[in-house]
Amino acid sequence: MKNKFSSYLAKKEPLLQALVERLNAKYEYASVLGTDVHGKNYAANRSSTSVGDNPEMESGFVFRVYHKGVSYEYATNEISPAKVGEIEAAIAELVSHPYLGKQVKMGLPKEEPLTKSYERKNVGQVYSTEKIVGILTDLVKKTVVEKNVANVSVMVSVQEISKLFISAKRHLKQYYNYSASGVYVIVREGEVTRYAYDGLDQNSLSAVVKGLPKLTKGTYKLAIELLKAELPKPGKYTIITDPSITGLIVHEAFGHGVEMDQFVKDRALAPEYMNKQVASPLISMHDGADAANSVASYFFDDDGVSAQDTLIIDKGILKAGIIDRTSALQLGVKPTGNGRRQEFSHKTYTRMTNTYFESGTSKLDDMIKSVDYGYYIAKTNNGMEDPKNWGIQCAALYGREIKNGKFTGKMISPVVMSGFVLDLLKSISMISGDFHLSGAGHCGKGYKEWVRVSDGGPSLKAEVKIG
Amino acid sequence: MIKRIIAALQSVAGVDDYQITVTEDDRHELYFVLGKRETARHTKVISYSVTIFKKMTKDGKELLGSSTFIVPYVVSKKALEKKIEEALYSASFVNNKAYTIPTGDGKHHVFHTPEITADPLKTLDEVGNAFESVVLPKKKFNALEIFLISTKVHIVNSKGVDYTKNNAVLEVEAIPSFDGHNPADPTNQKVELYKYFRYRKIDLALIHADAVHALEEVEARFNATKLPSKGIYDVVIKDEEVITLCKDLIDNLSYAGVYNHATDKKIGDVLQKVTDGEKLTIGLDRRYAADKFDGDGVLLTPVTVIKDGVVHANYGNNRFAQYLGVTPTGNLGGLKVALGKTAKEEMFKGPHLEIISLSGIQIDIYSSYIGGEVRLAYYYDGTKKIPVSGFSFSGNLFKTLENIKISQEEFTTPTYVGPKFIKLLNMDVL
Repeated sequence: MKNKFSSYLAKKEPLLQALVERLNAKYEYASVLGTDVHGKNYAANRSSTSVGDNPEMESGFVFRVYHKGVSYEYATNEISPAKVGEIEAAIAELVSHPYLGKQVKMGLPKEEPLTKSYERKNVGQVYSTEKIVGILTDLVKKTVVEKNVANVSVMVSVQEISKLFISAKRHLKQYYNYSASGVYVIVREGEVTRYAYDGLDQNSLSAVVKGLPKLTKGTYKLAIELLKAELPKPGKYTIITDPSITGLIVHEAFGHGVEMDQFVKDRALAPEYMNKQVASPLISMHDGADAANSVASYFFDDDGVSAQDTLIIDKGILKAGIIDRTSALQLGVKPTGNGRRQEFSHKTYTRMTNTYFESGTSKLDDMIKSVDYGYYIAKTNNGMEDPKNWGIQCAALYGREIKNGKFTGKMISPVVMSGFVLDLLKSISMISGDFHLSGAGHCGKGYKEWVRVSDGGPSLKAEVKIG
Repeated sequence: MIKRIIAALQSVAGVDDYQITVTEDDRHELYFVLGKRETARHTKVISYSVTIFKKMTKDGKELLGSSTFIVPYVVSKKALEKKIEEALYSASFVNNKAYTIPTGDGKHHVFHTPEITADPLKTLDEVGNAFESVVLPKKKFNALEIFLISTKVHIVNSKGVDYTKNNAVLEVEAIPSFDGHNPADPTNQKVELYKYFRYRKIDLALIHADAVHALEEVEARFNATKLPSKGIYDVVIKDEEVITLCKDLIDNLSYAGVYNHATDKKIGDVLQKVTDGEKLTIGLDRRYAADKFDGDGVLLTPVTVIKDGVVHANYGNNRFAQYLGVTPTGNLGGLKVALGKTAKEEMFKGPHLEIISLSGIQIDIYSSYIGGEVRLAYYYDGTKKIPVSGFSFSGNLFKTLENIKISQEEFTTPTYVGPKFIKLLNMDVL
């Protein structure tokens, strides 16, 4: 782990500065984003160990030009004084092509001048490859001999992100890193096979490595419990969510619906509900790279816009959305620092960052006691948004049956919840006082453009359809 | 660059074998918002991935360590040698059972796919125009993203593998939308669907037809009503959902899945205990003519994984094939499923739900679950067909497979050829 800003980007800075100046002389607005992401992945299971560069490693530059109402971008990872002419020619070809049809007419960015460097270093000890691999292989050896274990996989990943943004008014640099660990256990009894998984993520390599033994033990125990799980009987149920399912709901049910690039495309229902009640008065919701310290916490976004904390729902009332720069120019509003690219060569979209519901005042025990019949739903799996029509689908690994306020010991798996966003959000009747944010997963836009996000909050009591 | 990397690999002591993979991506992209061009992009990215292999013996066991690093930009000889030394250090902790890397004849073999256009920007424009030419005031594409992707992969290893292949594909993400705004009815006034099209050649007539069909489907979603009642229904899934189902059924049957105990299914095991239905035959194939080798440099061999509902063969990469003592098929990216016996008339006879759009089909092979939230379906009650939405279906996957019907009608994508429809009987609909 280098724990500092990329020397490669620093070396290219003068050349990039000069090129942006040349482009600004020719076009109405020009900027460049330089990205240098490094990292390592460590993994072990019963038959393999692997150590290698993180597949999310990337290094390159994307030049953006706004000219006569349209956005143009050229991305490359080959940059040198000899390549400058090629880059200028590629941008000129994009701008001068005689396109058919109509074009949008967006304004130009109004940037506040800012020159600043940001840094968030790894907290705690940096472990050697030998130490990490030793811990992983020991964990596999200890777990694989446990009863019914078919296989166990454990992994640790480290990412160091350096970004450089230059436009006529802004010159920004940031370095930050995060580490993650994960475990996946498969168990088998006779013809029944089940699995369980869990993960940790923090701005501290030692913390995620130290947390692995407990995580692995808990995941094995859960997988064994799931051997007895049954398929759910379709129906409408009262549920209590764990924070990861709260995160899935906040992300899928409402997060995607307030991505304002969808407002520009008339792909969202949310504009019709601005300043109206969309959720129980108990609900307040946030998103922002500056709203929490997790895997999606950066200092400026891929448009060079400073990170912020956006209050989206305030006590059940929809107050605001999130937006990237290009979409903000079309809507005539200020960007919120949510412009993110899957990697430097991809387009910027409005993306969530750290998204959560604020915690409430109820105790989890009281929430469970209040359920006549229902399930405690846990371990997020996947979900799909429908920002225009507010349908939702959220899949969880399992549910624990609750009868007369007590767990019965019965479990269901998997749990696929669906319904209408407003029905679900308005049905929330209790919110716990605890809070947990998880950043183990990636979020797609439709079925592509994957970025790291975190989401979560407290436990919720709600009514949903399971089937 | 390859020569520089090889020279550096040969100058650092301890590298027993190596593989270099060069990937060149050239993409042109055009984005439309409400029928108007918003963004035009061109990206040109070349990346070098290097895997080094180190032979070791520990406790009398032959081992092979490996580590992969990426050289994303031009680096000095010294920096490259440092990367190799770091990879060697990492590989020394990777105590995998010994295996050998693929061998080649030392000659450079080029497997060529013709480019699909000589003028990418003009083609993007024409494709955009094909979509926009069919819109009507109430029926249009609120968003359109068009990608022309040209990729070249070159693999060189220390055992004589030297292969290059290229590929070109056109992809379109389209959001057909229907605006039936009616101030008297504040609910459900605008609807949309999500569509993703993939093409290996520029056939504007086909693209035009796909655009028209997408708009017809979204109009159906607008007209969709609630399903008359919950209960048990026969459900017909199609296209992408059929692909996902077939993919998931063979996912754990790879060499790695077998070796790592992800599956307990062996060759000859009956996966589909057919009582009154049709049997599935699912195989893996090359995705396109030039798709001759995989990421390890193994020449690909098509394989039938499930034959008539029975596990017929495993498949997969070089390393796990050697662990199991079989010949690798290579990692094949194309899915080939045998067509069924059921004619279209038979498939759609009797009351059923024909799923047009889901929020994403959910399948869990271990728990035997299949289901999903339905955004649009057609309900046929035996006499008339009506669009319906706002419900979900689910069932026991392997029980369902006992009596499925598989269509004679074919569906193809750049990575799939097989039946267009599969009928699942007695699903729970809520």
